[in-house]
Amino acid sequence: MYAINATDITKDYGKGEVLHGISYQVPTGQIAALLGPNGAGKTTLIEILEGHRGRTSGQVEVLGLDPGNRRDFAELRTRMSVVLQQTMLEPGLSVRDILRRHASYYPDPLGVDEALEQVELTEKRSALVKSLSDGQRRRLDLALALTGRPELLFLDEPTTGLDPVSRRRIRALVSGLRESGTTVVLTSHDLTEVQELADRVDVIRDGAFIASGTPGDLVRGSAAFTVVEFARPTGVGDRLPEGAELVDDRVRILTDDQDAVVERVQSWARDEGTRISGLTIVPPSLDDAYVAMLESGTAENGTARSKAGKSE
Amino acid sequence: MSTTETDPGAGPRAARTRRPSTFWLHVDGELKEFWRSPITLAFIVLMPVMFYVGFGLAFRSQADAILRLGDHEITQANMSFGGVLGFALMSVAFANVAIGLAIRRHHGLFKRFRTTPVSPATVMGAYLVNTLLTAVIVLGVVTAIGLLGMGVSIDPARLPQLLTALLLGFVCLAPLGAAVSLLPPNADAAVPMVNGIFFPTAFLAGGFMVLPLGDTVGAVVDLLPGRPLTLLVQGALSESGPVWDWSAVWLLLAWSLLGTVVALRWFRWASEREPRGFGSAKRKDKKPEETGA
Repeated sequence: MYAINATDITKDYGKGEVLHGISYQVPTGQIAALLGPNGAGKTTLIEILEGHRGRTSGQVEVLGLDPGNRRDFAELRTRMSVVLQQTMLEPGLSVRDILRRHASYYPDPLGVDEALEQVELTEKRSALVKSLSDGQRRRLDLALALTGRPELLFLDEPTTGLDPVSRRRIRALVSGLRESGTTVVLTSHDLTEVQELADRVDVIRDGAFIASGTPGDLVRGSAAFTVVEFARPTGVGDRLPEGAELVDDRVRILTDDQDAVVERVQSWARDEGTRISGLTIVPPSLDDAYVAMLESGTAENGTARSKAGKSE
Repeated sequence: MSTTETDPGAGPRAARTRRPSTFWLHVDGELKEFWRSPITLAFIVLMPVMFYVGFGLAFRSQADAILRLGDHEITQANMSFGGVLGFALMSVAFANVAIGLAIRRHHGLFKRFRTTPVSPATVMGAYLVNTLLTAVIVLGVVTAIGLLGMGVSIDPARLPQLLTALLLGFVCLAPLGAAVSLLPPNADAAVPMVNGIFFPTAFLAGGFMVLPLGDTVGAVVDLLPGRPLTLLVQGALSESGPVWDWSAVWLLLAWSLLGTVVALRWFRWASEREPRGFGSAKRKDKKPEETGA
């Protein structure tokens, strides 16, 4: 069951296609991250899914409705929410005023207090928006988005510019949405956030998907390396294991097969008659995998897909 | 309003019984946002009042002097008063609307509304209700100052005409403001661009004094909305002569129609220009040449 099922989407602004017949599916109840460099077509795709931009061709179903159809779009807006990256909240209104007004748009909204509890902002109920910190405003954004009890939530850079505590709060909140069955489409340049939150990740470049899968799949399938490091043993001089380099008096080996490397290092240590200390093994992060993916053009294993292919 | 009874989140049953309408919650929001902002209070509400106080005091010694304007005879006090009424109405209904909508659009407030089920009519309607209330308050304050301290006299027989003229002015200027709000390319440009239209239109209208504009410039100014508004207000405030200049009425209505058509036809929620409407993919398949931002 898909919350979003889009096939063969093209978008042409008149100066050439920006989306080249791509397909995109998000299973209901999952947190899906959409990644891509600026200008990749991410925003265009999201706006087509949200119903704010027309498509040139292709089929789109969001919660079973066509966002390109006027009547479906009207219903869709009562069933989904969007948290934009940057928007204005009226500074002269109180948190309660804004939530009450927002709640009036929906048939069965959350109460003001309930919405504020979800984002841990209850104590700011009567505060004017202009007195809120950036993090509190962002949480108010989320409270507004949750007020209509959305089945689908689009989140655009939810934690950009926030302090670590606010970021952690918002991530916990988004993570909690999964338990409530809400489908979330997340766009973010913070790949730590994506790795922590997303059930699946789709990477778009030049209007086509170049990789899809779980964050783990993408990391494993990428050309990014695990970093094996240890302190240079005294007395070995420049005699390092095969493929190693010396960085700040630490021996570093990049590998896609850490077990083999560890075995090789142990064997080298025996031959040198020394002991290995301070060994660290840092697997590639989604961040590393993403950069490697964009540099190489695609993931290397089965998670890579053609422009019209499906990830699952 | 009771929080517990009117809180939309009190549950579906409560929502059905005592839930305030979206429209009135928007009006409430507009009122609070406007009247809690020192900048709007200073520039939209106080500026015409201060302007009138300064201008009125300067001409106070000539308040009873009779001026002849075409077929009308009008006192200097009423002439100044009429000029300030027109200026205040243009400030509130045109400049305030144009700047306010442009800033909201470019700061993303409308973009947020676009993602919700609320209709543009509700958002714009509430904004206009607040603008109308503001206009009534500002014009009321100006009128009180005029009557109490500037020697203004309003013929009760012509009061309905004065009110009608001001209402016509609002109906003309507010849609024009909404239309002009589409011009500024960003929020920073809103104030200079709108004021660049507002101030010349307001002063060339001849509300404060008869300006020697010459035939060509005069003919152009006669077609701008400030001039017919001024003629109608001066007619209603004059001692003699006809109240209604029907060509001015039709001209105001024509500007109103133009403003309404432009504002509706090119209305957009966000800064970037977007494709018109939200047609189905099938329909769009027939128009692959569609362009957008």
